[in-house]
Amino acid sequence: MKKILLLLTVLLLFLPSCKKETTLTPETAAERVLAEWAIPFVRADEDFVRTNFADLDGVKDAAVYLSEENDGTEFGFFALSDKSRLNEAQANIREYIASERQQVLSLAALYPGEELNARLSRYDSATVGTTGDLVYYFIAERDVAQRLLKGLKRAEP
Amino acid sequence: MRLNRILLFIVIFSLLGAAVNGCDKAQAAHHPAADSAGDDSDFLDVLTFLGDSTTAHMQQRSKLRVDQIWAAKNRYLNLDSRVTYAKIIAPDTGQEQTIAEVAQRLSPKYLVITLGVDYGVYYYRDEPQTFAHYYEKLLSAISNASESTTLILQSIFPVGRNAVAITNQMIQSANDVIRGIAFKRGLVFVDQTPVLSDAEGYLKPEYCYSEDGIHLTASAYDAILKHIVTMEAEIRGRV
Repeated sequence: MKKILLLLTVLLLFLPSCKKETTLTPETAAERVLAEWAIPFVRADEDFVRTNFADLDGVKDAAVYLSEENDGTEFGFFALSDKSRLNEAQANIREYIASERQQVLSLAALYPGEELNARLSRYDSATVGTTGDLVYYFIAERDVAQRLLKGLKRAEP
Repeated sequence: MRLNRILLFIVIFSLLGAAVNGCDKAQAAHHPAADSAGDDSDFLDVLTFLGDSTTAHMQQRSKLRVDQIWAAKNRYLNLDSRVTYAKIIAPDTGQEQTIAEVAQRLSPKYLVITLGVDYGVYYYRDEPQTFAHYYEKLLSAISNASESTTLILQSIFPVGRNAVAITNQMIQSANDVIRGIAFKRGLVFVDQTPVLSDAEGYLKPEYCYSEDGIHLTASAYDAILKHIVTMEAEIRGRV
């Protein structure tokens, strides 16, 4: 009996260590996306995140990347202190995207051309959502974003 | 008789000499900078200009060399949160790089910056501190990349009566911010507003290139460059 109890105790102690710590952070999520995406990106600095997402309350960590091709393609992941505010965060990000789209629209009126039209279409197909505890956005062609997000979800536990 | 002929020759040659001088003067008047062309050209030669389309068009409508103009491929350059990530066409390689990257490699002696009519003037019209923040962010990025470059801040040009959304009041407010930044950083501020504006503060009609009231004619750029030349002593003194 004592041996059985000892064995059970050892098993109970052993089992928790088998469970992987797989919390996805903005940084790791972004790295996985970057690994799958063929175009080069530059990470936006803290100033960019702080000023563009000032209405996002309770952001404890963020990773935002801008396409080096300077074509408006960008994506970001945010971890919030208060996970009950994920919906609110998504709404704020959608406002950010709408605001950016509006200014591109104004530019397109002054500088009509295919490049700005392509940017506008990326804003129109922007994706905002959650994965695990993270809020994300992609300003990119929708099929590209969906492919990348599928890859991200496959990598999750 | 001989004396009369000598006098006649003297008179004739004197008249011929006066005529030649008059042509020279006439030519000088036609090219007013001819005598001092070397001086003006020397100073303008050491200037590099960075900005949005109102700067980019100097490539076609001013006497500057193409390599003196730093502009983006599509000619717009927003003053916004992305300004330090924005790409311009490097004049030496033709490749797109950030402004800081180009500055680090080329280290221009003087860099005249005219920025704000794209995005900044309108979207930050009620947020002068945000306008200043991104303007200074760019200045710092350039200065860190090229310490030897002397920055010259130029006023945003006035717009004509046809301009939509952007008003000269907005521009004046933005220029006040830029002037303040120049003062704070010990930089020269070149105010082109008196040069380009009519009595009501609009861009003079003869300087308006397009119906949008924003873009400038060759004569406008000529006036702009002439005004900069008058500030040569002040600019060189800030090095």
